[in-house]
Amino acid sequence: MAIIERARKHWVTATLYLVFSLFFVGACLVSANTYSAIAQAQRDISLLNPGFDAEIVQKGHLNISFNVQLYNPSRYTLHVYTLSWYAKLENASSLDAKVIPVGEDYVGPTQYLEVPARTTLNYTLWFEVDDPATLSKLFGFINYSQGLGQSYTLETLPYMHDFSIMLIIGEFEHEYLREAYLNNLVTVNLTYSSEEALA
Amino acid sequence: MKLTKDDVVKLALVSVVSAPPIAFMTFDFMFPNIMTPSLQKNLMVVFLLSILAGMPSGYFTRRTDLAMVSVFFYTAVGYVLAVLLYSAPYTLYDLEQVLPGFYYAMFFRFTVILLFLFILGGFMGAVFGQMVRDWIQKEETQLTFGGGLRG
Repeated sequence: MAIIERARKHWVTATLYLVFSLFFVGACLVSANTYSAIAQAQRDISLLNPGFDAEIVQKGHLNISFNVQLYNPSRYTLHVYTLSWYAKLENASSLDAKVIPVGEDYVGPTQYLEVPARTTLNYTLWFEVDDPATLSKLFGFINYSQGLGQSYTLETLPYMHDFSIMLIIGEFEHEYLREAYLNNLVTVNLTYSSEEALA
Repeated sequence: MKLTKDDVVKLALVSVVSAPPIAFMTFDFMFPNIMTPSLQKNLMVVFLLSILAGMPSGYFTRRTDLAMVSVFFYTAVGYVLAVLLYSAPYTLYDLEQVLPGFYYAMFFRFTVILLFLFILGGFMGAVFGQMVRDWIQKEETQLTFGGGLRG
């Protein structure tokens, strides 16, 4: 064919043309693979086995704790951007304090926490309630519940736990101001609420 | 425009071989943060690469109208290829798209300037390609016959 003859005659140009094209074929394949790996990571990264506990410790203080596993099967290291945990007790009988905050913890981006690739990491968060005001509110709740026929102790009160974590996949750029969708592409948001888990 | 069988083969070949740069640039324009390598949405680089991608059309095609048409063809093929790349997680791994509804953005919102650059750069590249080919032919003719006359 004439086209083959022509390519053979101009073999230097034809080879350069093919190399130019093949370079972009390779770049497309690598990038599509990265994109697919990110999509897989978005699907597979999850929180497992959440658990919580409350126990009386020294001086009658209450130690409230929450633990959860973060499962990262992806090939990327995850960077913890924010992590927050709140423990509270809902007190529907009170007019002014419907929620009694019991414990909290927060980790920001400046602490540089990481979740290595293909690992499962345990997070245990705890808070010692030693504030007399909070403890008296909890005891008040216990006494009020007893009047309604429900017997609670500090350890068995129906505490609610809210946990949320925002992770950045790998080293990809993510602080775009103009095009926020690029942040969404490489950000994983996971939340757990004991209230929703019970519902 | 009359097309011979040879012209159709040439159009098809140019469409296939020139499409990957267009596909890459389109895909990169959507996701500059995850691409390897990335042009970082630099429109000047996109335009220069478009000229480079258009040069073979002119170099291998003597007819200017055919070279121009081939620019439309490879841009269309490259664009379709970019959409397929975007669909890769869905088609290959049975995953949901990370950014649902992004096809709309890809087709209608972000690409007017890109397509303009691809086509304009492609046209310019095709003309440059023809100029380069003519220049090489002129040099070859001079080398073949010029030396003989001097001798």
